[in-house]
Amino acid sequence: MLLSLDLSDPRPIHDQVAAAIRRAITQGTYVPGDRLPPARDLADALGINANTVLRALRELRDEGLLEFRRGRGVSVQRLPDPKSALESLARELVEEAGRYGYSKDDVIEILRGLP
Amino acid sequence: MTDRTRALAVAVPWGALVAAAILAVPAALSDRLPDPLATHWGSSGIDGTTSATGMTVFTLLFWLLPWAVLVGVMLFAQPRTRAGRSGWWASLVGWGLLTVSMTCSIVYANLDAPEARLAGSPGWDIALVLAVAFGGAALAGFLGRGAPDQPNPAPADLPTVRLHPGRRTVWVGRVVSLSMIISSVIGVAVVVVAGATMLVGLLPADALWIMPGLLLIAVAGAFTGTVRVRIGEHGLAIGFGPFGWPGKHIPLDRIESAWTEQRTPAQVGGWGWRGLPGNTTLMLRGGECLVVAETSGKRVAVSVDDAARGASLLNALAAERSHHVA
Repeated sequence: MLLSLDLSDPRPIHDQVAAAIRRAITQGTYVPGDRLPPARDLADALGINANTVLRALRELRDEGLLEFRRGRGVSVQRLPDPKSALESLARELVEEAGRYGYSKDDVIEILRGLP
Repeated sequence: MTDRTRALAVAVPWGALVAAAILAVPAALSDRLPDPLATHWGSSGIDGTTSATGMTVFTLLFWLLPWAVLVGVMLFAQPRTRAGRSGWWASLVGWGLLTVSMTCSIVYANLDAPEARLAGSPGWDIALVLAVAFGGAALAGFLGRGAPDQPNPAPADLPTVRLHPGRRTVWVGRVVSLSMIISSVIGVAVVVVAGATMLVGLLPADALWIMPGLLLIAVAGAFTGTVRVRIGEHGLAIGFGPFGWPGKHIPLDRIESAWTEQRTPAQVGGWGWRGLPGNTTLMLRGGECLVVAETSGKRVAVSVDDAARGASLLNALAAERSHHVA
């Protein structure tokens, strides 16, 4: 599972982790029923507290993306619907544009200009 | 000098030397040896005798036939791997030493015996024969091992991902070995059942000695049944079992490149840590493996799901790091 966190993002870390996991599920090789790596592994790799990762996982469970099962860990319940997947990609695009000094409107202009 | 000419330049004189020793040792001492000689010992003493000529001919064949096979192997099927070269040198030297020391041992047992049935019997010198043969074989195998095996070259187009500045990107992969988990579960079940049976007295309590063994299987299975792989700014970390220990860590500055390969247990020689130092595979299941080339030339592979993303990230991180250093 490939996860990426923006170190300068002002959002709470658990929100960012949830977004990163959502994105990994969207674009990853995961299908419903697949198990996620243990929360502690994710936390170790990201260098953050395991409770933060657990909080993110609970958020995704509440969205219905993940399923918690006793003794079997956390598994994918369903894939994010295409619209929310697109939304999260669009959010990243706008963030990326911001880094180069472009506003959201500039991005919209660019999108309009695409064939 | 190529490997082959060097090998033959040693094998031919060595073959002649061993053959000369087989001929010379009994011949030089022939006036102190009985004929026939005692050549085979059973549990109740000497149970086989052979004429002096017969023994020499037999020993010569015992040496020259394998020697001819080894020379043939070097001529027509030269070993290309480190294990193959080591095996060839160990066989050549070990078998020669075994033959010579066996001859000496038989001659020593028969020395000054008026007739075969009064010969002594080999005792401690059997251990010496084996020690000389195996010691020589091990040394020759080590000296003849040659350069490390050159594994498959790294693919030209390495997978990579774009890293954004100011972001921390990590990859976490895991793999579960069903067979090891099952063996662990069975081990635990047997321990529980056997323990309960002993408690109620159905099984004699002196069968208790099997318990540590079973427990060991169960614990070993639990420790090696899962493997977790983490990739991040720290490099590559491979950890066993529920606690991620024992593990292996390769920092980023030792990583040259990474890619994926399809490998099976049959290819790498089984499950678990496989291969020779410098090119090892941690195999838990056949299929996609993450292969990492270290700057030292070593290769480490681990069977893990989603390995392609891991390899991409590792390449990107390693490239970024060398960029910063440069």
